Amino acid sequence: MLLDSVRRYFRENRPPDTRWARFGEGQRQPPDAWREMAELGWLALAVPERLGGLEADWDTRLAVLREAGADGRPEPLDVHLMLSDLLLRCLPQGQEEATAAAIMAGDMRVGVVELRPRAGPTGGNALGGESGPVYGAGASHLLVLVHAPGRGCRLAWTAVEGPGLSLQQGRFLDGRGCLTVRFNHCEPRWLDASGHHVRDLMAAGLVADCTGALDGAFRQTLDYLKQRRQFGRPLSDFQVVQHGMAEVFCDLQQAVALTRRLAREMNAAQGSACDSLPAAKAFLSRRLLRGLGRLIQLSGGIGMTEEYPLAHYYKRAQTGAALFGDRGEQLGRISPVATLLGSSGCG
Amino acid sequence: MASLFDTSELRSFRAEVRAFIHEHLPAEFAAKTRAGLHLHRDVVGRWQGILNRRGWGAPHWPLSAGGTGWDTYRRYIFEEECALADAPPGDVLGLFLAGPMLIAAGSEAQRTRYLPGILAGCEFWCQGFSEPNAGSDLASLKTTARRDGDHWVINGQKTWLTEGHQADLMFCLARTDDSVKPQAGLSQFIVDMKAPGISLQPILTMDEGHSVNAVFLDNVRVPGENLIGEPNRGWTYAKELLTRERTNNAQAPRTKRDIIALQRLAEAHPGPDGRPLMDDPIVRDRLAGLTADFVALESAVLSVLADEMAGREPGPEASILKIRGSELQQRVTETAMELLGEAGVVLEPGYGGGPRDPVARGWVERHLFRRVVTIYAGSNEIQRTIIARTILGM
Repeated sequence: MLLDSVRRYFRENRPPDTRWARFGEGQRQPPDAWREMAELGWLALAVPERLGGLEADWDTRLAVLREAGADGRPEPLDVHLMLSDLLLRCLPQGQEEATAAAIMAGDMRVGVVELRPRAGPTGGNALGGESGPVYGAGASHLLVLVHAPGRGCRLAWTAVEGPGLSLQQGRFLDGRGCLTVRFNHCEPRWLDASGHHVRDLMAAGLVADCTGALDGAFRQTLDYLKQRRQFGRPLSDFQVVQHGMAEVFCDLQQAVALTRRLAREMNAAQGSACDSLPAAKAFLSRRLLRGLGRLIQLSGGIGMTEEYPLAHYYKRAQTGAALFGDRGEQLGRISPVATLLGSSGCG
Repeated sequence: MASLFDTSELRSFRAEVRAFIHEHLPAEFAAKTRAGLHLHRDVVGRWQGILNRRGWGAPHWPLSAGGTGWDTYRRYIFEEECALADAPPGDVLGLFLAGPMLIAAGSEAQRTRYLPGILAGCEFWCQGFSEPNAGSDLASLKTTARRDGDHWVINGQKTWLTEGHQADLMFCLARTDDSVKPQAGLSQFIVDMKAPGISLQPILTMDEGHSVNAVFLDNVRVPGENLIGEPNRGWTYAKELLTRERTNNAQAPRTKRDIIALQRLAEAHPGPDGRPLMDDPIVRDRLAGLTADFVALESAVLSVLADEMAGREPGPEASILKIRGSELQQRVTETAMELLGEAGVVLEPGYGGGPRDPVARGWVERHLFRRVVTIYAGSNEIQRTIIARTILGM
């Protein structure tokens, strides 16, 4: 029922073609969309019941993110659906309720950003240096993943408007807004959770989102190939086109299955990242991108244009592939025996 | 290690070309070539003029038409040195398509009028072939040309006009006889892009660039002498032209330059562990694989060029170059995007602003735009059909 309402809302509220038609002005979030998503209860999906949330399981959360990817939504639903409960667990008891209420009302928006060793802590507990891109456009607060040599990946929490931060506007490849942050003796709240764990959760969200992107692109292409006629018949009549689509369909079905498997494993591990995550993220970076490239190829020149959806899906998947552990990094984590026997220890 | 080009004559020739480029290529032209895809005609034209004044304006043209008379290896070395120095690429539409077509099928008056402008880099061309409903199925095109006294009147719509907004002239394929089979009723015309009745519409592509256009032709009057060759033979000229285009589509020297740049990127760009990416054996393996595939491509290109120099027009084997060359171009930039990681997906805020990190500039735009190289000039699916039917007799 929730998914029906998600699909209906996306269909009836600024569908992708209306947003991409104005892509040159930026893939901005409609000003009222986040509030509407809050009113629909979506921002409560990852908030525990004891704090007034819906505490949805991972199947539900990843299924919603697939729909968001298929619709090319600019709002950072994935950050909230993947991380809200973890964030709330890490906050001091007194702050939990107020933070949960602010998240569910759409008043607090969370972004995630990584700080690399060359831009790591300036000493003590202060942050210094320039971050990578903030994932989560319009963020009011940041979860900062601080990579420090020999100290793993620590997790910090700070307000965007707080002292010690200066911001620079940018865009991701697919047009979604992003910031880069220069930290200058910023003193964040350090949270008792692993930054690696947050990274893996975000990577799992991207797998779902990009699977949705491939799904949306596939449906669009299938319709087009059945309508577009060359040599006196629909393109879909040609065997080479049929085989191409069948190949992408195999990739899509595997991606859907991988997303469902991630959800089941995360349910079983109570929110921990799971054994199949590195394989799933590596699959996204290789097969999903290849599939999207193939859909552009089968569509011909129209697939290359800004006015048509395929290029936007492709760029969304390219963005997802690069963030929170690219293919090389994920492949490096895969130990065949450990992965196949089920204890890769990721997360 | 011995090289194919390692003879004293060729070393000397290479040194001469390299010295000329070093002395005459403006640094700003090289920087613009490195940074972008869609160069302004001023840059392309000025460099073409410099080469032409040296007598190197069109090495692949016959000597009698302004070519250099170089053999295959010299011609390839010249292209390679230009690519390695990031010299602006020559105008494909004029130098590789319109020019050779006019040399092969045009009238003496057309050659006299139009070839000097191409050689000097002061007149630019575009190609009016594809239409909204005639892409791979080009012969089904609907644009018509009707005789009216000593003029032709052209009506229709063309699309995917590369650099049409910068062009002075278009070679346009139009239907002149609809009573015969589709391929038999087509003719080619030279159309002035400033003629009344022509209107252009930009098409923005996924690299956030403007290089292609749609054009509408509304009762455009074309002088009779602008018909290329014979009426109703336009399909034959188009096929020959597309074959020449496919040879050029391999873009071997530019791909060589990109693989070298890729290695430099891997040597300079740190991975997540802070060490250069080139230290990663997987990255080294990827680059070595690309290099091996490039050597195979280059060998095939040189073979076709040798045939061309011997006076044999490239045949369906040009399709092999188109397929392998275009796929390799895509793999090179896909590898670049993987090496760049986050740097490849963060752009400046304004549309068309390009990547924020200087190390990613040029790579991201090329990666996105190169989705098209397996589509244009006859998609790779069409090329495979040509190979199967024409070479393999299937």
